[in-house]
Amino acid sequence: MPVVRVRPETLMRLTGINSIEALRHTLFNLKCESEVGEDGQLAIEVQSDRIDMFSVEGIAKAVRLYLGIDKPINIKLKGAPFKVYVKPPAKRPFIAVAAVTNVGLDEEKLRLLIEFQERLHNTFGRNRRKVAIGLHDLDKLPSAELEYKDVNIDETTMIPLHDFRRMSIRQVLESTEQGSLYGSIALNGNLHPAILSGGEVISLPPVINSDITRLSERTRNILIDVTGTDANAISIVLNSIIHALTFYGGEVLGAVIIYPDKAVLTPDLSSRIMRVDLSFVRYWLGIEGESSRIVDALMRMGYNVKTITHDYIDVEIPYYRGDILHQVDIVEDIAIGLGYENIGIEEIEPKPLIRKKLTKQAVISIVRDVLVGLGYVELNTLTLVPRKLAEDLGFNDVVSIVNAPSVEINALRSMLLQSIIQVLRNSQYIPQPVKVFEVGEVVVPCHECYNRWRNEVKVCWAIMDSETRFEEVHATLYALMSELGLAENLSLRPCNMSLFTEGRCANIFVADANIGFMGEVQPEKLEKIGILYPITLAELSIDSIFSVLANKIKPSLQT
Amino acid sequence: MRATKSRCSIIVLPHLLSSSEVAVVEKLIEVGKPIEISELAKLIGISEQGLSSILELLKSKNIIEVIEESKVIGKVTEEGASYIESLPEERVCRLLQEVGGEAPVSEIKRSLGESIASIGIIWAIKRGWIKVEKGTAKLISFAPLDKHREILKMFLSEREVDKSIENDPVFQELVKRKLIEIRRVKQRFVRLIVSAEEARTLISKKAVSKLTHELLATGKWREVILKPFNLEALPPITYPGKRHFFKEFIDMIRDVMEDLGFEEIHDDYIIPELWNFDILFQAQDHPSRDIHDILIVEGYADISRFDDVIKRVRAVHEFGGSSGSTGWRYKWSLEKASRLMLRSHTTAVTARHLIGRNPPARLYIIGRVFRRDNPDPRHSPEFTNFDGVIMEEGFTFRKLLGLLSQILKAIGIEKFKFKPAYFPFTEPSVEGYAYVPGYGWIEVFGAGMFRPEVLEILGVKLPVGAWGMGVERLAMAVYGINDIRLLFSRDVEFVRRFPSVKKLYLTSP
Repeated sequence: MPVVRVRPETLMRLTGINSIEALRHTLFNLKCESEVGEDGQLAIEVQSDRIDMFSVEGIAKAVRLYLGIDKPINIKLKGAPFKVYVKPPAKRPFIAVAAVTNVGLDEEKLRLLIEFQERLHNTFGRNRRKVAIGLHDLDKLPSAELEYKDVNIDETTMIPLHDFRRMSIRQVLESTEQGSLYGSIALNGNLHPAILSGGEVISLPPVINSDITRLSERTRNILIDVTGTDANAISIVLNSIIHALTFYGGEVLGAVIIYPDKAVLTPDLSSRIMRVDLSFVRYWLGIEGESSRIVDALMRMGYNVKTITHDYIDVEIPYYRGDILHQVDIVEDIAIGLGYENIGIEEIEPKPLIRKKLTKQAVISIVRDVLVGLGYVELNTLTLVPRKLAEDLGFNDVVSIVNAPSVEINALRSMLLQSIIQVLRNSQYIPQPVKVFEVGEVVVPCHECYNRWRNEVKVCWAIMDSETRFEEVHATLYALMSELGLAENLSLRPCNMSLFTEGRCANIFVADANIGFMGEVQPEKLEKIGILYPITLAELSIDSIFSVLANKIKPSLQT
Repeated sequence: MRATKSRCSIIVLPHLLSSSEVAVVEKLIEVGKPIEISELAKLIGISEQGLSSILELLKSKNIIEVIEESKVIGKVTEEGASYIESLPEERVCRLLQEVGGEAPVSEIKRSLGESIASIGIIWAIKRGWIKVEKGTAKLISFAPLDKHREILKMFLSEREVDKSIENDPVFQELVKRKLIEIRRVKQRFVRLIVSAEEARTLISKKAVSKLTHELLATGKWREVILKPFNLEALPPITYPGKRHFFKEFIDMIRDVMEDLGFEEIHDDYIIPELWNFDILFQAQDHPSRDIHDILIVEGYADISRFDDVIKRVRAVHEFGGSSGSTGWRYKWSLEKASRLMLRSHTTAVTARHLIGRNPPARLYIIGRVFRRDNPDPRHSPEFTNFDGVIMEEGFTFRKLLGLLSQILKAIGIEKFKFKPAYFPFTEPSVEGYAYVPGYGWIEVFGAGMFRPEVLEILGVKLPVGAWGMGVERLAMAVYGINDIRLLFSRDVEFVRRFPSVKKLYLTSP
């Protein structure tokens, strides 16, 4: 989640609240966790739906509204002096432009503004792929007539931000840090989108601005360009910036965006009207609110209320709230405006489960009881295993993870023993014997499954000691099968698995169902993975045992 | 290492001797005089270490005593051995005698060698045998050092130095000149402190440490004395078989949920993105779907059989369907939704299980989920989610807060608070913070009412409350564990030594 860092004094000044604790409490109720860091800055974790709160000014505004210091207001365009002629760039067709006056930057405001811009880029803007923002000193703008189009990167030049050399766009893309980071996003052969003013490139979205219109601590009026692949998204971002910059009382100037087929006025500051059904509010939240409490809550969350009736309230959604998709989003704001602690709680009626006697969980419980009783220590291991280890043990059917962060966790186990052998390898120097078990899930190929792999619940127990302990592993099997009532149907048949020494392993059958195997791990395998103690183990499918039991018990229940 | 228990309050009856104690006493009677321990061990045929512990017991029973004596052992050094025939100063004097009583020092060095000559000249001067003036040595007198050589010969092989030799100035000189090396060793002698007669009575009765079936069956138990148990020695360490503490924690949650009437559900780890994201109304370009955050596997699922769901997902994502929402206003991709991944949360499972289910439903799952994280103290690429949903007539957000309170209280958390939050698939959303004594406030779950868009996709007509919780995080706070990797420890010793009693902390904050 994005984090806004600001000096507490700054936020206290902007909100007019003098207590940091009161401020933090209000932020908590507005979805934001906060803490004062070691550098003395207040770090505020903002939620990704509220991009209007990605700026310090936006946070201050939300706090002031919540505490009733400010009332919801609408803002209006003070004319539209800019014209933007668009030849839609292939990879980035949309643009929105606006300006805000009397912002009066200083060193801190400038820093916060740049951080706000980056926050929007990194999250909502999908690292500038979806949306990118350019900020300009309006008073340095060559002309109020702008162009937005693809330009030839070899034939066009510009002075990139914080540089003084004029260079070709190709050079900008190839030689600047920003160019190497973002240069490939909108590049289309030898064409790249650019914004021009008076024939001069002022911005190369989504890469870099021109130095000509660079912001400084003395900038008073700011021109904003927002470009992207989604017309709705750029509008939402532009409005969140206007929301932050108008905090200081300036005016908003708009632009006419002239596409080949239409003309659009940006920004769109109109407030949508949405109807909130009071029955829905009660139905969803479970509160018996009088309308006045709900109206108050709405205002504290920045909504102007247009109409109130017995059945519904029509509200104006503030222009900067792009996250409202459905009346349920307003219902949440009503809950926040009321305060979650004021909603109260209503416990639910416990309902006795009509428990089935034979559940997989019940079988697992018996298995665990028996193994614990026989002195095995239960393990809790990761399903993720190194692919190489599984292969070294002779298992090539493990599912590979395409984007694993390391080779230690680049596959999912197909057998529990793959996890357990790792534990035993790490436990060679503790008092022996080491007797362990785990009940857990593995992932095996499934050709008939829609998702190609399925989980299987298994149990594996193993003994590592200075000598092979086959008899004990074998005895454990019989004890377990007796407890499950399956001992009489149990049979062992010769096995052929590369994990085990030939003639020193067995497949385990209950009637005709193969439920697992056991054996002594082959010395060569042990050597390969670095284990110097004999290991004997058994692995059974609890899913298979469960179906055997289900078939066995069902008929007897019917009689 | 284990601490040795202090010796106290054990009353030892002197007449109860074990068979090994009897063997020692018998041998001491036979030898009839104090005997050195290693020698005694040899005679009995046991290790010296084994004997020592038997002697300790006999000592405590006031039958023997152990006397410590130290002695000096001497042996000639390599240099000393080379002087066995004559010492350097003797060689210098003999040479001078041969050449008529005087010779230049250089001449002596040439014929005896530099180092022997130098040592010899110094000692000859010290003894007053020669004088050196202007580089010439003159013989004054000479008496062969017979005694020196005799003592050197005595210590050619290592032997004890008796008192008279130890005090002899010649011996002391040889030691000082490092021609003989000495070292002090301690010896322990064992001596009976009871008379031989008393000792014989002591060993005449047989004491046994184990009552056996044979003794009982033959009645011979009457003829022996059962020795008291040795309560001083610590027993060998044994480890009980036991359940893993984290799985116990999960079982405890399972019990709580079943008491509230929730049914456990399951699904595979490998699922299409459809279940993990799309049915939860997460836009396909949402950052949490980025491959930097989730783990993916090769290939696609065949989701064509879920045609109904797909139709609704597409409509709701693109324009809101008939949910009353605007939707995300983009082109939804079936291919993206089919991509296989490791589930990153179990809401993927609870939500899927609501599709086509008749209300009411109370469902939960406690299962593993996967994220693209490298393991460190606070992150694990795999961890456990506890998710639940409730779909009932008249279920509300207020009831959700009530249910969450019930769950928290039932698992032993008495102090908690709710904070507004954001999740893409719930509205309102809430985060629960729990106060864990000795730890502080931690975020324990995220919850909320499924958005109408989600309900539309699932085909659900009633409000649904949902929550998800990271189980490890809460277990760590409760158990006082500060590294998540310890919950998946590959060190059996860690599990063996994790005291079972800690699970009781849960219910006694």
